[in-house]
Amino acid sequence: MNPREVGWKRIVRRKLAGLVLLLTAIGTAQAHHTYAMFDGSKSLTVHGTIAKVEWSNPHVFVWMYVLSQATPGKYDLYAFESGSVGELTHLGWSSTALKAGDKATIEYHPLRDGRRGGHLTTATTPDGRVLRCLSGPGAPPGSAPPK
Amino acid sequence: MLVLFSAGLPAGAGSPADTATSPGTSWDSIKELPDFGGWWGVILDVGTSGKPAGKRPSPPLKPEVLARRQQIRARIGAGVDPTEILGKRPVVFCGPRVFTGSNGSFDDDFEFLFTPGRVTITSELGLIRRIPLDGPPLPAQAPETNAGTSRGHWEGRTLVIETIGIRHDYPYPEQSLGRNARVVERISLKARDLLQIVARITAPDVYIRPFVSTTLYRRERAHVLEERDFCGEHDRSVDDATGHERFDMTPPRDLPPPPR
Repeated sequence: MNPREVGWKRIVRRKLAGLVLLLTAIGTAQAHHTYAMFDGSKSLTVHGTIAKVEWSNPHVFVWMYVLSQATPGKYDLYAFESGSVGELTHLGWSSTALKAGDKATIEYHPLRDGRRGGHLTTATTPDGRVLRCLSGPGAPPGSAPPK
Repeated sequence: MLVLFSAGLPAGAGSPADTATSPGTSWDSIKELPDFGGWWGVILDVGTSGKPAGKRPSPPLKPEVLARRQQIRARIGAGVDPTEILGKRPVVFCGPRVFTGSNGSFDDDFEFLFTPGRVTITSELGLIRRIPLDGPPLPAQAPETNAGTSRGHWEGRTLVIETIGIRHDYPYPEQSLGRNARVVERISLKARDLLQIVARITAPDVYIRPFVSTTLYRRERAHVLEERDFCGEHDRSVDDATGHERFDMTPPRDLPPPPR
């Protein structure tokens, strides 16, 4: 699946919500950088196979193999930053919520420099489970209830 | 995060009780106390709007403090590196947790440990607060430390903790309380697994009047402690050498090969 833009209304809503959350997070440990490297005005989606989850602070990183559009049969490696272990745990994640080999669809704010990756907003598994991240340049429209 | 704020309410902190008969000063008396056991996590009520739930009126900031914070917010919103704005190296933001009025912030779980004469509150990211229930009252002044200097006592089913000696130089400006701040917490169970902390914060450098916040926490019975530092040894988002932001896409050494 190619990265795609989502509707402008959704983007505006996310930017506004993201601003609120960013200001909320300034006082917290999450705000140790600005997220300026991500384009919060864009939201893209890719589908692929989870390569690895680095379950560590300050940011959990999700690596994903995505079928290459330029070279059929090959895979591109994507990298996604998300929230801290604590934040994601409160949002229903665990260290095994996504595992290597799992299929998933990831929605994210892309890197401004064009590399493959960005800041994760949601990860959806084939069984419909949605894992969300609240920190970052934008905010998802909803989130899983706290555990 | 369900956080309810109001300003200027009386604290009703009361005075330390007679330690000879005070609850919590012996194993037998601890058995009679409310069950604060287990890990507590701040309630995130994100619903479907993506916004934190609950009313959050602004704290009663002094005008000059408000102006400075607005300036900082504007620069951060413009993408300026916080380390540049605040004139601090990134490592400063990886320092130990500091008590500035709440046990856990956005993402820290915490637990209570009751032993005779003392309550200990530990947060998942390493803040440890040791609160004597007996001994001498708080001094007029105390040296600034990460946890501050506290005294506690029980008023019925409510644990009351008063804290001074709070660090004024906490690197996050939104949470700094300045010098000579004082926090009085009233901690009680609102339901079996619902904890309420009403904190009355007096901060003459920051607030024009005392600020009272009410925060709710849920007991997380299934929570398993994952003791870890906030900043890992390999932060992909900040370059330790230069202090500048980055997005390090160096693949992990143990990255499995692509699917076949």
